[in-house]
Amino acid sequence: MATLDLITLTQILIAGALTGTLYAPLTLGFNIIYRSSRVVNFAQGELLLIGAYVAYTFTVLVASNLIIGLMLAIIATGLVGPLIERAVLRPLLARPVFAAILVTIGLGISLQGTSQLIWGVTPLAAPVSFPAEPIRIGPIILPSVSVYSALVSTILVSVLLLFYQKTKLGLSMRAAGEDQALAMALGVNVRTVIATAWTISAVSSTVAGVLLSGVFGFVSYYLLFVALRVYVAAIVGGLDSVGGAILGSILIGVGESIGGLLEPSVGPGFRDAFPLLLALIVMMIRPYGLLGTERIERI
Amino acid sequence: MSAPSGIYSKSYEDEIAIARTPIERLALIIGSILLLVFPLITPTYYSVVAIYIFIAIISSIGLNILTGFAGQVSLGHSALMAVGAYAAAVAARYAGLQFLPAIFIGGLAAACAGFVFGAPSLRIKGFYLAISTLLAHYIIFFIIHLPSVAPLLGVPHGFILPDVALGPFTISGTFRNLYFYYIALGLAVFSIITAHNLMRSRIGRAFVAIRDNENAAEVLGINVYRYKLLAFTISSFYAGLAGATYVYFVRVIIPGHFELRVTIEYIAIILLGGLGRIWGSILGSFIIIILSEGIRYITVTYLYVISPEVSAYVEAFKLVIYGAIIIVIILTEPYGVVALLRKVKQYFKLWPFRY
Repeated sequence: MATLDLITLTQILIAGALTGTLYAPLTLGFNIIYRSSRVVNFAQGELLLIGAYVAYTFTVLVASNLIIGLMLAIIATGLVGPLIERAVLRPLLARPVFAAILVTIGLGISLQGTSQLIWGVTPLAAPVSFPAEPIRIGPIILPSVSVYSALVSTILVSVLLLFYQKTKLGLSMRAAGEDQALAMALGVNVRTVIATAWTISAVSSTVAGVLLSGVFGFVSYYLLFVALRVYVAAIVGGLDSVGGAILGSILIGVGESIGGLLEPSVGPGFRDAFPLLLALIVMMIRPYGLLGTERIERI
Repeated sequence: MSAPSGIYSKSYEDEIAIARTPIERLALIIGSILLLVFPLITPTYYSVVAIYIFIAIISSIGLNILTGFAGQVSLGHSALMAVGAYAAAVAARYAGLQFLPAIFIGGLAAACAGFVFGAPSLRIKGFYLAISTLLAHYIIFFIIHLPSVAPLLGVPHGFILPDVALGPFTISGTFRNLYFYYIALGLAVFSIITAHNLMRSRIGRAFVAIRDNENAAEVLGINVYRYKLLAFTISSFYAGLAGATYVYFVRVIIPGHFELRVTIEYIAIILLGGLGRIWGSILGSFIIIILSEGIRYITVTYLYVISPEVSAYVEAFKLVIYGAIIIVIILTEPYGVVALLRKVKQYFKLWPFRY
């Protein structure tokens, strides 16, 4: 540890923050579903996995052009959202939270199994590859994969935020998030809102899936492990806060880097376990997350 | 003068008896006899499946107490089974303990871990609790894989457990599965009776009160946090017992036995069987284990011939089925097969009238 100088430390922290930016679209997708329907989506990781596999299929097997392939993949996964809403979530309106949790778990493992049945268990090539040349900013060296994907990810998140804040549909989504019944009474079509939320979530998961498989260099069910960090990031940031989703993602990314740094002294796997420990601590102190609003319960 | 209609008890002992009517008593006797002669008249393979069912019953009773009775969602069940299994294995290997004390220690160790798993339930619930138990699952596995711990536990290659010994008798050789069948049956019966009685005592009623309305339960004078911790502890004891019995049966202990999919399997079991019913655990284990064995059997025997690669997809196929079961059950019959059976019973009772 003594050899650790300031530059290396900065480098590691920035790399962590970049990884965190990569989680942000996924956490935001999770967050949007929660805000519009109060359903916690335990199938977020599977949406990511399916997205990455579909992108693989379209870019490698269907279209020879990368851009067209990715566009097709985004359209295809975008259709999954309304489908899930219609088949699984609409019957769940006004049912206890408990039921929704278990249903999304069920949905998740079904999707997971289906993806293994369709695409097999052996890792496939990543649909997008990034230049191997690292990027240097002064004395700091960063892998270009993380820089480029963090860039794409930031753009996606900004677009989502603009949509959420500036469009009419975004407004009705926020309204439904505040109070579903009231929004319904004011003429907001809650079904459309929920379907849109799932579409956005599925599309941003696909983008995140493509980027993450680019980082790992392959598509396999290992990507599911990322989902855990998304839940953790959402909790750390606060389930009902968009800013919290982004902050949580970055914190988890940085936590991962710090965990990786401490790995030699603690033990293998600490890189993955450290953010989880952090999240447990946050949950004990602020159960509603860093930026979330505290719920007041009525009897 | 005729006897009053319905079930009519003359004493408190009658009221609390497990089999209250002549038909129930008859069913109990016939059922016991069938269970006792089952391994003697069927091929070994069936007793092996039955052993898996018994172990699943023990473990799913644990999860049902926590999720079905006390209403706390947990995704850490398989990690608790792992704690129990490893504690028993270590006790057997390093302290030379026999089977029964070893699995008991496994149960106790899991109960302690469950106490810790339950600690966050003071402030968080629902989704948050599900996530915190999921995190606890990964942290347990992280600890198991630590370089200072792993060699002791034989991670990742696993180590072989000693033969099951009861007093001077050692169970091995040809009749191992037969004897193990009776041991597992005994443990399952023990779990069913203890859980059944516990759930209709003060503790069980408190769990149900917390599940139905936490704030109301608190107003009624139930120490909610203490009872939640108790639910986690009791539930984990059964999980640990089942985990320990399982590794004793399969004889080798590896972390792979207790992956997250095992938790999912148990969630499917209690949902399918019926939440908040001991019977639900029994029926659910029966159906899911037979289903899972069936899927494995069909893939291995029939599909393997077509293409050897297919057998790699057994687990994937199981996942799809479990997921579908969870979704369909929650959307159509939230209280599972037990509620369904009750409806069927009601139908025949009232027949030919609708209600």
